[in-house]
Amino acid sequence: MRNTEYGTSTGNAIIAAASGKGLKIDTRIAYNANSSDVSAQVLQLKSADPDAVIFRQLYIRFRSCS
Amino acid sequence: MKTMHTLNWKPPILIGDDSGFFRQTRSSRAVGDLAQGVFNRSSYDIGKPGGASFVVNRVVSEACRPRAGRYLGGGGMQGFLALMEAINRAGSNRAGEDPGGADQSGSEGRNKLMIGYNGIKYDSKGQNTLAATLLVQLDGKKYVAVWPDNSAVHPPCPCPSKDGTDAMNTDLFEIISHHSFDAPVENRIRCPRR
Repeated sequence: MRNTEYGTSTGNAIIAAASGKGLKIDTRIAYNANSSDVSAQVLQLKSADPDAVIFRQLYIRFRSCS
Repeated sequence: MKTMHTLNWKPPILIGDDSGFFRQTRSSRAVGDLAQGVFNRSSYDIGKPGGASFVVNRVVSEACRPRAGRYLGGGGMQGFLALMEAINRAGSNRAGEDPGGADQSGSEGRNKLMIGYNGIKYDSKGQNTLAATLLVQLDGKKYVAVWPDNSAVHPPCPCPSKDGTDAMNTDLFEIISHHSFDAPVENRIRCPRR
């Protein structure tokens, strides 16, 4: 997620909504708002192999309820 | 998207929340080929071609283009409707006029012709409790409304993989669709690629 108060608060809301639907949130990955290279974060995502990714100036990965 | 492409990886489902680089025009030209199937949260959609929302929004946008120099986007259309609603509530468009018995309690405009606009009603913290949204999906050069189902041009489609096949796990797709759509399965329109 974008490492700002805004990124954190909206990320919290998304996670709460997804959890309420039975979706398991595995990982939140932060990145610096001033960074021009997100290779490390994408590699983290690739390694985690999520079912889905939400980007809101942030990355959240979650798994289905299965 | 470019980094994902460089690292040879793309998730089965990628959702942006009104993310700047997913927005239409500049971004879709820049990474559109790489971003096919990406979902985004939006505030506005012109609606189904030929539908009432499509016609009204096109007429308003065309009328404003000569003065604005461009078609109205989502923010402009929302602002236009908010202004109309304020005038309706005041009962007059004359500055300073006593609104008298005009309705100041807020409105519920769910029957209005704007997709993503349910009206304005502020709570004690100044938040619009009728704020609405919709989900769109990049399909070619355009975003297409895919949720809520009563506004959707078509339902969500699996993201195409590099070889052109649907990358999304079918079971997962059904789960997402189940969470996203209120209408019974038999009544839903189908993704045109499925």
